[in-house]
Amino acid sequence: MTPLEIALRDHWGRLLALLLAQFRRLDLAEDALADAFEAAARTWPDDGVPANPPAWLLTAARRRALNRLRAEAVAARSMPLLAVEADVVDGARRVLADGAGPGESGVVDERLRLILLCAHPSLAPEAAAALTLRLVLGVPTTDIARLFLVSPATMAARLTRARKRLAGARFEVPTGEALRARISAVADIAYLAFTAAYAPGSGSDVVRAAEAGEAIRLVRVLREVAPEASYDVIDPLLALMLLQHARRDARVDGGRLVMLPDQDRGRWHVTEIAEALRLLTPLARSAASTPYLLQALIAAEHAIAPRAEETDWSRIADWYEELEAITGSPVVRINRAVAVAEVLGPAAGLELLKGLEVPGHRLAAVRAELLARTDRLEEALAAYDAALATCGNQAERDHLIGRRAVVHDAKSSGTGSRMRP
Amino acid sequence: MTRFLILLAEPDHFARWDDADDATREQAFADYRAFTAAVRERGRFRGGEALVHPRDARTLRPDGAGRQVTEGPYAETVEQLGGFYLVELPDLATAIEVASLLPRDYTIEVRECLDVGVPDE
Repeated sequence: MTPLEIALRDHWGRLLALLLAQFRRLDLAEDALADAFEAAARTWPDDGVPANPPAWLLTAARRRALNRLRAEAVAARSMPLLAVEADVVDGARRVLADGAGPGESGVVDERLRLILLCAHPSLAPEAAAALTLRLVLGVPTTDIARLFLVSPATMAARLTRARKRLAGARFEVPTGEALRARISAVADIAYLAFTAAYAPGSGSDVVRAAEAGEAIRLVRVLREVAPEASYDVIDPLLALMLLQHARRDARVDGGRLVMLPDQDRGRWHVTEIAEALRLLTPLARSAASTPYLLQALIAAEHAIAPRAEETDWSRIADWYEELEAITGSPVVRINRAVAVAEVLGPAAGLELLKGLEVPGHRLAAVRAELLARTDRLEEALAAYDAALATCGNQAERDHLIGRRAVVHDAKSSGTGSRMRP
Repeated sequence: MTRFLILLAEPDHFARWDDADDATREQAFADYRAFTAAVRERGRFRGGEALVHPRDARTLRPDGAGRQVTEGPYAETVEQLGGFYLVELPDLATAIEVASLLPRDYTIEVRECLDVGVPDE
């Protein structure tokens, strides 16, 4: 990484939060900081990296913001301001005036205010997720567009609308239950970004690991700045993401999707799994069952099985049952059916899928698989066709086509017996 | 109504702006607002812009047959042009009255525009 890339990764969010606290306008603060990074990209290679890169960037950004304010004032334009407490403005002013590097200017890390602002209830979850990646982590708009499978222009417009929506919002850290609720909202936003990277609905990539990694980084930043009392919200999510992300290399082989039972477990990232298990250990005993915790426990159960055949499916089936009771989600029911099929046989799994209707290809794909295993090959082929009709992801399509071909051959040759993947 | 060009200049304007404290800057913003409000009460606000630092300006000078382009402003002056307004007001006296609302450290030139009937775009 270049010094500039390191500065972007380590300081963008904090610098933006400081500029925002002083100038009280998202557009102004963000443009000024982006300009400062752009100026750094132009001058650092020739002039050398300054002794204190974040202080250099902050000074440059501040100058740009001031110039723009002057221009706006002369042109008789005025913009709505965020509501910021006077002591927060003063704190930011002191840091900016010192020209020193940013640091914690008080008990609250500047970034927490920024993260919570992005989780503002007036924003739709996807807009909030995009804005959080942009503002807190400084992820370029084109990368965010790739994550959410829209064009860069569409994403830029979406971000602009989101910023406008926040004009006049409060730049603050709420207390008590309001703070917990907002941190939960940030967790949902981060997971939305993570799943967008992890299970794209279309396109040729099975996983966009770099973008998924950014979502994890967001949760790490959140954990760094949030009060310890909210770790029971954050840690299950971080563990869940780490466990899923740890499988990224094994999930794809030559562009083809590899399902969990067939993955080369030697390619799982063991340090990430170990970190997730460390986070989960204290929670598994005491914490209340939440959707993230249950999902993390399920993922952990897979992670600790040395081989697919040694997976403790009965525990997984129990957790899915609990998860379904909390969420009432038909998607959870599908996963529960897969686990139950492993414990009690495919017929029991199929029983759980009866009457279920879920958009997308996953329900039909699971049904096809279980039908094949009960030797109902004719119905299995029809279910594969139904799954293929709605599956937009090329890697997953390839997998389904491969499975369909195996079932088709078995049917033609009359050797039905127990189709296993 | 007559059009006036109002030029705002100040010695070391750009360095002073960067170094100004918050109170000074807030006062400047308030003065700009008072000025534009006064113009709108008495006539029409046609526009106004702040300028970049003169070091980023380019000057085109006649050079024999062609032209020579140099960096910087036309003339080396201590006073730096920081911005301008185009306003429509009843007369020069009113223009001077409202221009006096602009930040007091500025040197302000008020110049009437010749009306040759060029239509607005």
